[in-house]
Amino acid sequence: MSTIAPGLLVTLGLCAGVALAFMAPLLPALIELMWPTDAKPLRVVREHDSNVSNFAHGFQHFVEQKFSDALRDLGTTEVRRIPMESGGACLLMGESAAFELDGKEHVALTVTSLLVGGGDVHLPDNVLYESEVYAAGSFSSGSLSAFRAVLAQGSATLGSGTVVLRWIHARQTLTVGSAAQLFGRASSDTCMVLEQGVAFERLHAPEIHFGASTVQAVAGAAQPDTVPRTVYEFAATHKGAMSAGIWRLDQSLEVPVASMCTTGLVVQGDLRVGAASRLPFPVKSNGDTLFQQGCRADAAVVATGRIDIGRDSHIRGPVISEVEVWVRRGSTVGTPQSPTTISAPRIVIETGVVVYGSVWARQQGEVILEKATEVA
Amino acid sequence: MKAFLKAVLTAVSLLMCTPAAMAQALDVAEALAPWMLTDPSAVGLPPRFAPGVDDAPLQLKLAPDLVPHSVLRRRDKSYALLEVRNTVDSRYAGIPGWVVNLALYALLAISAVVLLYTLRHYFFTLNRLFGTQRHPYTDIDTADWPRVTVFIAAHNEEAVIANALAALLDGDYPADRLEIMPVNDRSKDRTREIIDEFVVKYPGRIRPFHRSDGKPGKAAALKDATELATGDILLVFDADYIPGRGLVRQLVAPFFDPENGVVMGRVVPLNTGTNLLTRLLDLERSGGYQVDQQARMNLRLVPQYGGTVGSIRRAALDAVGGWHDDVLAEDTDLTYRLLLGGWNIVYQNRSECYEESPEDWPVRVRQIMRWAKGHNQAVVRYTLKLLLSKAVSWREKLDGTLLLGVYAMSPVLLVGWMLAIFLFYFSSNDWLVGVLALFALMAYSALGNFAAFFEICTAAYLDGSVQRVRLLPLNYLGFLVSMLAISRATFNQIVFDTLLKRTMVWDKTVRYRQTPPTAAPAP
Repeated sequence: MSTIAPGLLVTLGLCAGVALAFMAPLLPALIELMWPTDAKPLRVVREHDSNVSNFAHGFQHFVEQKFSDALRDLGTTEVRRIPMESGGACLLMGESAAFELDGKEHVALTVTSLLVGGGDVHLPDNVLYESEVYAAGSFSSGSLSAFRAVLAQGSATLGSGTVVLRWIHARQTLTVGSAAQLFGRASSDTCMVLEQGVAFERLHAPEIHFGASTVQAVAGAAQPDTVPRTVYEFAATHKGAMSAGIWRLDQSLEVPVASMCTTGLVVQGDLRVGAASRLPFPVKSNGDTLFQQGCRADAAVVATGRIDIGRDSHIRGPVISEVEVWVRRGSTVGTPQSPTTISAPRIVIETGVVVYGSVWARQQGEVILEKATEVA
Repeated sequence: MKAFLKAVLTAVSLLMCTPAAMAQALDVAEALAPWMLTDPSAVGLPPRFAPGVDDAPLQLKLAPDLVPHSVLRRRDKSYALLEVRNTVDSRYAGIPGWVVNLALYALLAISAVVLLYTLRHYFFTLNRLFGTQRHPYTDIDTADWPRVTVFIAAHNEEAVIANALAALLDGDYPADRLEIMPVNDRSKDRTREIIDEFVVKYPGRIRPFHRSDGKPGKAAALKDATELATGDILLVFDADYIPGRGLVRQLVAPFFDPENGVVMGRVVPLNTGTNLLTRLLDLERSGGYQVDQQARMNLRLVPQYGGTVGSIRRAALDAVGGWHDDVLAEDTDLTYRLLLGGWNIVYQNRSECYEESPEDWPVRVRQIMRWAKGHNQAVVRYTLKLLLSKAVSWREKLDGTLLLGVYAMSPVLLVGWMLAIFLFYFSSNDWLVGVLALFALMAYSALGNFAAFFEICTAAYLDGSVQRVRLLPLNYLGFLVSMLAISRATFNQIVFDTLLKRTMVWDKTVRYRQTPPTAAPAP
């Protein structure tokens, strides 16, 4: 017995050690089970309603809640700096007060205070505004300034080279000067005008004009469609089948000039639509899609590759690409009665284009001057 | 030193957790340190193990009382630790060698399949972490929206139906294009009364469908309801779901793509913190949706329509023959019919909706048994069609076949474990130890049917909710329960349902939500 006992003890000890070693990885699990630290349901944004001006609504609610009384009591030309509960300060400006940089701000060319204007707000050039800006009237900024976020109850005008880091919303027309950069969301309740060289991510307005002179394009879209077209017949050589009103082709397709397709299309390759053709039903290509000049699509245009919308074309439905959308001069997307969406990682829009609805560039959007040739 | 080595070997055998493994450890000990058996007293063994007392110590160890002609009489064999051979022998006289070989090749085949699923999970996880993420339709917020019918499948849902209706009425989809149709399938509680209260309070918004007869089951009820629906797009929610304001719009947006036939959103458990089961299901759901489904969307494979928080193009549904009311998993059935019909299946990870997950193990077991039977039906119906289809790409065929086999993997895995144990005892093939270990590792990694462990970890990371990952080791419990339940369901299905022509019965999931609203809220 005395010879077995030491071995037995060592064995038992090691067994206990092994058991502990085996249990050790379970300890965090057991602790988390007994005393939960992360047992709440994952956060689902139930209030998310795809509203582009969601942040603007939230900010307006914040301003009304915190500063409406103070603004009412403020003299029309008075400027008052008040501390905020969350730290920092708020600069309240009366209805007719003019904004001026104080000495420290003038040196740093940086304004850290939240700006709340009781009327129109006009801000100088080349200054960084680190907090939000609210204008109860119209808003305008000089060139080369940078803003965190802006809400204007009237119209808003951003000077050339301005940068908006998070969002800007105007209740009336939003005009963005050349070479401005709009990170995040830019929206207007009425109309938006973006000059050449503007970079953007997410835009929304009932009317978005790219370039100052887009009146002709709008007038062109309003005209009745009188182009004579030939009904396009799918040849027997086309590999594909008809299903639920949609032609599914296992190949690329080239629709001849001035054709009319009488069904929806799904193409397993590239789709090239000849000039002045009309597609009344949705089309999808699992490749690139190219519309030549003067085409018309009355429903959605979808592609896994690039979409190139030729000059003076008109697309009524959503335009969705997984790569890039290029909209050329004179084209319109959507109508005032039926606004729509352009969505792609990269969106290039030439001046002279009008979009009714939303333009969502997940990576980068850009307004450029007309390019000489269409990209095949 | 000797005692220490013996103890270490004992510890190793304990870690391997099987008596067979313990015996194997002693075999290893014999090969490594024969002095252990030549000097048994030094390591605490009784004198009978000493040479000279008994010339067959291994036989004594494993079956000391067997008579020489027993089938379990061990054959004489010399062991070599690193010996690798292509064929194996039976360790015992009564087991023919070909049986052992057959078992070995079956085990290897199962191991290969499990390895395939493991690689698939790894691939999905890495794609989710480092690949290009596809969310092509989530930004469509402005459009000429189509007419939609929302079905709320309800059978004795008095506890939850009001929440679902109220949430849908609060949504931002254009009211003139939204038809809300609660499908009250022969409820015996207050479901009908609650629905009718909503109908009165929201005139023109809700079109109830009270079903009092007909074939039981969700698919049959949806089939009848679809005949009355006016929408071009059909949305399906279970009654315990609480859709957010923008969810209907998000689930409809992908249908602007004419190639899409069905859309699936993400299901998020609401009652996460109730008990261990709900927490484990929360982990499993996260891995399954956040990683598995989204990766399949990214890779243009076959995301699965899950029967709820989903939408279907009416024309596509009609083109593939409508709802099949003879299936237990109408969602899987529809997924494969649409795939074979050339329609795309879309998963939208950002279209999230709360659900109530089972809080009792018996309820969970019944739920998963129903899913298993329904899925197995789809295996029989669609595997061959899928493989022979010309409308489906090769990678969709591969992923679709693996997806079909997900539930079949449970009984297969169980058989694999049994084969491994059988071979461990009856084969003389030493390198099987390595196979066994590899098999165990793969089983542990792949977790067979559901979200693999690393998928769950990745999902928690992507969700930004990482503390819950601490529960991961306990998820093995959920896996074992699921594996046994699915195996049992499969056995029942093959033996009783198929051979004895027994009718399969829809089993409704129990609801747990308390304090149901008794009346519709004011409009």
